[in-house]
Amino acid sequence: MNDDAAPQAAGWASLVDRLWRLFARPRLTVILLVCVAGVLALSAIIPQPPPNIEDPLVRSQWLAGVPSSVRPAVERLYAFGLFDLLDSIWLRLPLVFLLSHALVMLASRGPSIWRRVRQSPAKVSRLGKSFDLDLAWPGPAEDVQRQTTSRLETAGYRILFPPDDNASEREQESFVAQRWRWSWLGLAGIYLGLGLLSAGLVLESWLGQVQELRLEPDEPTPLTVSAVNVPILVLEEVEAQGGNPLGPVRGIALVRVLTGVGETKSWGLRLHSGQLLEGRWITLADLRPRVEVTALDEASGENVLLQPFFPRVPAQERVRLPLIGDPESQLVGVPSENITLHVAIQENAAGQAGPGATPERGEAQGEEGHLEPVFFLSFFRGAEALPSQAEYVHSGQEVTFEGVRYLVTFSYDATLRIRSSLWWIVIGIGWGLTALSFIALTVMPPVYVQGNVSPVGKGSRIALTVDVLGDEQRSQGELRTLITSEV
Amino acid sequence: MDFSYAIPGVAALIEWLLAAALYGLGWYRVKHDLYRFGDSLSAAGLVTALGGAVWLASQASLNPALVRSSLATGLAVSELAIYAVLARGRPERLSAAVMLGFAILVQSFAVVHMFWPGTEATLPQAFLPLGIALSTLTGLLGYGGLAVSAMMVLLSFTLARMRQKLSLDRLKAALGLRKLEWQSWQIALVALSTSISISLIRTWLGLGQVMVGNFPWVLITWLLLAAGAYGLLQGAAHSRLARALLVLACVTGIVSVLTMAGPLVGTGPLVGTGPLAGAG
Repeated sequence: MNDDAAPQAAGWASLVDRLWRLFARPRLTVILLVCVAGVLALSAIIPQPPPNIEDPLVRSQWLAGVPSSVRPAVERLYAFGLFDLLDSIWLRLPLVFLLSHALVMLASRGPSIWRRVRQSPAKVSRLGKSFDLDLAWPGPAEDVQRQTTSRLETAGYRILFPPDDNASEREQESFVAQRWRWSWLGLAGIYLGLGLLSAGLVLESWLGQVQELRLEPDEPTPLTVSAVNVPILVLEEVEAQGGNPLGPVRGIALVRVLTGVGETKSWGLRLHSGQLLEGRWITLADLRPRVEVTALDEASGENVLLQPFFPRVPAQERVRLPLIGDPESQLVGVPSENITLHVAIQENAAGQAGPGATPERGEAQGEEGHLEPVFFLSFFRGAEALPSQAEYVHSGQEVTFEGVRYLVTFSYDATLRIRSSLWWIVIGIGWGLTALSFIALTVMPPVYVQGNVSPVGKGSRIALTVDVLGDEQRSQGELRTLITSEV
Repeated sequence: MDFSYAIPGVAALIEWLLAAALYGLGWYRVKHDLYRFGDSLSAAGLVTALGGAVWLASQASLNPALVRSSLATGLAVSELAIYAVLARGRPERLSAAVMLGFAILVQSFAVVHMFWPGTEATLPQAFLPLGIALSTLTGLLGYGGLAVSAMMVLLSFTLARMRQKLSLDRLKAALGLRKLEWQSWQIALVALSTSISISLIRTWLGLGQVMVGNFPWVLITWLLLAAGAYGLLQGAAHSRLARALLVLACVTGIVSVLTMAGPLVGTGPLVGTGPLAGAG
């Protein structure tokens, strides 16, 4: 080792020591919790982009919604993560600090907490708010101590007398009293929980992938787009029940899975429930009602091309229109006929689907509560504002207008949320531990009392050192009243 | 608009007048040493809470979906109920006036909101309705506790500032406020932790993510409350800072109640894919 190495090592030791002391401060817990709350508040105030913002189409659509005057500023600030706060350094940094702080707190406080819970007679360091209480009481020290400990026991304290080798020669009586001693574990639980919570959140955002898949009936969709030989999902059937056609409350989606090695499986996914499948956590988050429209020329027997108004895509033989949201998205043009078709679910259909629902109210009750909606089709010629023809039709029925047969079919798209990692289990355990520890400390705040009773003149002096996680003024008052009140 | 909606509103107004009369009676009796003031206040608080609960129930029977006015009333009801239970037999009247004032303000929002066309639309049906009912009830209890705590902090602060101008009687009133403040934030912390846990399980199972609708505001409220509570429990923060955090938590709590209707029912907008979006 050269001569320069020793001061350098001392410098590193000093830096580590300083960092350790910084991270071992309970005040840092408050600061970091407030920091995380601040980032969350900003994410709730600053408009955050939709999922899959990396997709150029999604990104350009999102930017199109931003007022043009602030768009350049938004594009510049986007690089700083201000518009994706929950997945940026702004949240990850306080979480990493919280993790480090939790580990340091566990390492520095853990042994003291354990000794206190085990009622070890060894002197333990302060864990909560400490205060001293000096009381004078008439009578010999031994009697005063017996009386004091007896009162503490009546109030729910557990008394421990430290072993004393020279009991015959002692000048003062000592004891330790604890109430809700197991609650001291809550202090460790908070840090263990916060540590797991922040570690899980950082790892989930770093290693985990979340994906939202929209499955259309009979339309093969790869499970992920970033890998080869991935399973292909095909939505075979959706059985929706309860609620109304626009918002079913129960349902099952049958999905066929074609694996990379050529196997075929079938999954039955329940609406609003998650399942672990193929190492991924998959939730059927939503069933979106859609109406599929096709048109056939009666004379030629050929399909007529249809052009949806929104989003702008090339004309196609079949279009699937949403039934919720922007009314413009329910318009479809028929370029060859110079006709615009508006498809809407009949008014009142969004109401409650009671057992007595009739087609006049927008929906029919099929077998076993299966919901069949009624559509209202309006045909507009050219740029006319009033429809030339309007008709009610059930799903699967056809309407003919000017030599073209239009078929409308009701179906659902299934929205799956797919998580490729299981770090959320760590996050869940962390949250549970933190919440339970806070509840335990709030409902059963622990109190640790170290007492010495020594003779003073004709009476005795009771010296108490109290460590409490809670309202120290209240504890002080309670202890004073408990010990000194006349029986 | 259906005028049957006006009936519970009128009932609520009568309920407030009754509460004010009871409050005035209590004030008169104390002034003339006729009665213990706290008992009348408890009665006023409980009657008000009961009236509010009846209004809430009648509104829910008309429209089973959760709407902002019913949630605002729920906040006023839970806050008054918590105060009435904690402050039973208290011999001071300032805190009661503050709590009644806060409840009237929140209830006024609810009544005005009810007459605001288009804001009380029927919302989509909820998934896991038991989960939503439990998390909403415990959540409202938590926000009620937080409101009582924050009001006591503000009242203590005001009394301390006006020490020179106040009579000894008024200053004595501040003596029990600290106990009320501690007990109410303890209720708030337990109730909100429970509510968030239920809500997390529900949204995770149902949607595969948790940062839905107003959940960020709920979480912010809990984080601020937890930070303030930890500061007070452990002595980790100056008591003034810890109390400021409790008041701030109350403000964000009110924001989260007033933005609650959307996300609690239906599937709501699915926002974000970040760590919290995927987390518990």
